[in-house]
Amino acid sequence: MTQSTADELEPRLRELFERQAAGIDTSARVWDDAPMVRADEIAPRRRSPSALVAAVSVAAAVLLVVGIVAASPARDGVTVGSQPGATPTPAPVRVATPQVTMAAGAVLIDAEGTTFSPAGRSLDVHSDPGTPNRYTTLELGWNERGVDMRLFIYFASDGHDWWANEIRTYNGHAAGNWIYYDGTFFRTPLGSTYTGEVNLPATRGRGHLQLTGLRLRAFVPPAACEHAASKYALDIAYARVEMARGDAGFGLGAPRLLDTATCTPVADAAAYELDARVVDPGIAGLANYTLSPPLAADRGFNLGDSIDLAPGAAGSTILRITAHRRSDGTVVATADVPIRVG
Amino acid sequence: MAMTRPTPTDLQSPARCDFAAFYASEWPGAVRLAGLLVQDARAAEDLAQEAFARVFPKWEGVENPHAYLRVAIVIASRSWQSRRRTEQVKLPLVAGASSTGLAFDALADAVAARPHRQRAVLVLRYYADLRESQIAEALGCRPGTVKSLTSRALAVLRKEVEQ
Repeated sequence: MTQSTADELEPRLRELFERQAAGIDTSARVWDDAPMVRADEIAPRRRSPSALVAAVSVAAAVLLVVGIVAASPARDGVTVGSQPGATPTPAPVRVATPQVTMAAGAVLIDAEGTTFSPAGRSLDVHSDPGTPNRYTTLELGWNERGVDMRLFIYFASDGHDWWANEIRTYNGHAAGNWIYYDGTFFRTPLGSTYTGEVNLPATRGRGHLQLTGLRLRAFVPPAACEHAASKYALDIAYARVEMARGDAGFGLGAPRLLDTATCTPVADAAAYELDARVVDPGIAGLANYTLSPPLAADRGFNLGDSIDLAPGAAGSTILRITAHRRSDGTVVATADVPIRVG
Repeated sequence: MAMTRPTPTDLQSPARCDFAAFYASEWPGAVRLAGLLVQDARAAEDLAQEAFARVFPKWEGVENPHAYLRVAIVIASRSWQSRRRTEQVKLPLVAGASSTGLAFDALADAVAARPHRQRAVLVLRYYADLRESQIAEALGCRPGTVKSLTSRALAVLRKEVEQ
């Protein structure tokens, strides 16, 4: 091995690793040292279907997949890219929002004869929070082949099962339009993960959607409920706060106090009060401009009050939110939100 | 002199907050490093989590948490690799404007095919930009071994890419 060869390989290795690293999902997380449970191992929380109902549900899901596959005229292959060598390589996709998680061995979207895939792309991933256990979405957006592509899935639930009732993608044109997949897909008991192979022809527009090894779960309970060890948990809209010095501030929203048995906000909100404290107030301060009357030193937040933060010096600290019962001051839940000011 | 931190057993203790902040800031880098070491994006999060879980109970008295975390990631990825020896999954390449095509794929194939220790020295050197002494610490070997592993890995890469 000569030095010149090493020098030749070095930049290529650096570029390779940088590109591979850029394709790895590193969604922010908050440390939780409670026992870890995989999403697919979590038993349904709100409903314990009988064995018969569970079996029927599984059978229905299988029949749904079989039906989808059987109905697909292109079962043996989604039409691949029209440009030789330009077809995306099937590769895993894994995305998560507070409401929906999706993992698939491959996601291939045939839009009017051209194949797109979100794998390895820089994705915008959102969900419409909608209404818990009624309506939510999973919305993926990225740019590929010089055009914007979208994969939107709309979810519904009747309180027992969840399903998707519409899927849409863009059609791959610069000034494009939607391609629709109408129907009822992925019907699964709430709290459970749908698994299967999906091969769908478009119902409106010319397209085909192939999801290989799909694992999909909608209406994910708030993270605060997932590993809750006590009766109440605080649900904060943001797992962490990133601000730059000079930013106007960061709206953290109104924390919700959840009853972990049902994973729904407590009914008697007036019975509780919140305290918020930044461990290092030199790095971030509580701003009270959305509160009326303004926050006083001896006044806690009501449930429903929004908490806003203002940046101070650069560094990292923690916002600690505590929920008290007003009647006796008992602390019923706490939550820590890491803050970083760059 | 070693830094000492209280054991973060109390959910509200400053030490736990300290660790939570460390976790939050180091999480993305840890996931990427784990993913590159095993060349499997799907395993990356689990391995990073496993590494943090190893660091957490040792938080008290860890002199250099970043180095300790790196060691934990290398150990976790090595264990994972030995469990999954029969299954080789490549990371997807992220297509860029300056895609280098097949030659780049060949290099990715060659990197993925290297034994864990050889790939680890490449990732730690060319991705994490660590010095030989730091790589040796992460791998639990001597700096001389890092030199020979690097040399061997680069020789094989050159041969395979040129074919």
